[in-house]
Amino acid sequence: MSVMAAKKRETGRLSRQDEAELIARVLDGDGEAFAILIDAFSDRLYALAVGILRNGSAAEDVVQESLIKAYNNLAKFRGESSIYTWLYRITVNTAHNYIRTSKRHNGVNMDDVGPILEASGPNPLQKAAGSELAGAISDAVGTLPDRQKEVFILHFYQQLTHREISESLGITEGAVKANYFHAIQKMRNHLKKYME
Amino acid sequence: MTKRNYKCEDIRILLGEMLLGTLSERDERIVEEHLLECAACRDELKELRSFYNVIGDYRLLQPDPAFSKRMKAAVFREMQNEKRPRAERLPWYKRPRLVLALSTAAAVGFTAIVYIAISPYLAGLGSEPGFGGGGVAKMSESALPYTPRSERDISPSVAMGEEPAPKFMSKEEKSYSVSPAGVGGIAGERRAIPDKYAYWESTLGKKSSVDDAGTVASTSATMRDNQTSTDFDEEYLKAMHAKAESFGRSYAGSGYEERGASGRWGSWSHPDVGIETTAIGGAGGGEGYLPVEDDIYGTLLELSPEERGRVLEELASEAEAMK
Repeated sequence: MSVMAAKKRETGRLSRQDEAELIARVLDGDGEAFAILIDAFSDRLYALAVGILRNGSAAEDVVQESLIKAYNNLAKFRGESSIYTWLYRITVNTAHNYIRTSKRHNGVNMDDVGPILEASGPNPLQKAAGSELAGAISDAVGTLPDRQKEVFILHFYQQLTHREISESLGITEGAVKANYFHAIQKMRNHLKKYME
Repeated sequence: MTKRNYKCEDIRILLGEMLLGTLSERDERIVEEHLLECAACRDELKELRSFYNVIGDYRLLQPDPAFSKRMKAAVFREMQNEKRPRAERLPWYKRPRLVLALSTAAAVGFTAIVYIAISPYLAGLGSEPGFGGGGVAKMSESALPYTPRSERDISPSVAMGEEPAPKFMSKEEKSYSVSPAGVGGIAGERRAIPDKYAYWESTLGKKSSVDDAGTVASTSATMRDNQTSTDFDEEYLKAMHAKAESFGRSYAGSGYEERGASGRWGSWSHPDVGIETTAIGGAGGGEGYLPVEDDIYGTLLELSPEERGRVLEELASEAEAMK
């Protein structure tokens, strides 16, 4: 267990063997095993949800719902992809659904959006100075069509490979490449003044 | 293939990956060879690197340190309320939430989900075992009035009310037809349903769109009779309700769709009959099973031959309209 937890901390991912072991344990009624999965992936799922929703509390709702769905449906996970691409997929779909139902029910105001990024460095001054640009990049990401946005976030900010994104979003690797390329072109255009 | 076969536009798609270090060695070599000879692509790489440096100084917002703990608490609460995700369960018709597994059929550009029942209809095989003659199985004998979706609880964990009345089928009756890709897939290979599954049938493909990358951007499907619509549009639901009424049936379904933009994965819950499905694939066709216990076989719905004829006509016209 501790070895697995350490691996998770090092890589943010688990080996397929570790995944299979954890899933078997969850299905055998070991709730702690699912806790390891949550520890491994919840932060990344949150970041992804924020990227899509631009709303922290909505992102939290979506991740919570996604994890519960994952738990309830774990028996159906067939191991054809990594557990985290499966979780990503659930989260993306749940986020889409959240947006649609929110719009329809006038629940959460999805227009109440904020930045999706923060400065990655530890320096507070750097963070403060970068807030305008963080907002501009967030806006640029926000202008992308859903699919391009997801591909961009998953590839650039979450370092998923094209194959992993393909599994997560259920699209071909060719479509991943094309969406990423178009996303980058639009982003560059949108952020031109910051590039000079 | 020599390096001269690669156009700048091909190379530029790879530049972003190269900067992220995710390019294969082979592709990286191709890009490097091209860059040696192409000043325009070198400039492009330079600009792209500048862009990456700017946006790379940021990361996606991270949750507060207690986030993971809250998520675990939420899931553990669910664990206490819900069944364990394993097979020790009640008979299928008593479960609050049933699970359907749908597997992928061939994907095509324009798609709609057309499940197993459609092919025999279109192929005029209405008298085949499992589709006609026998009794009509309904999830509920009572007509269910239409309720606007906004007034329904569509959450996946919604508590279920009355148990559905199952239609039992013999093993011999259990077979299904896999539709080929495409709207209203015609004909199809018949296969035996594995013993551990009950027969499950539905549905009518409807609507789809394609995004600018050629990916199926949205797909919706409507199950018939005591079914689920995965379309969120109220007007559409009303129309489906009216259509069901025209068959002398109730329209029990409100939809709950979580399908992503790809149209290849999703799950549905059916608040009225307590069905939750998870679909993998679905572009252009699919197949469905209702897992059951032991020797209990059930079907969720059956249409009379007359109804089938009408479905057939409608599907044909819808398929024609989508061409």
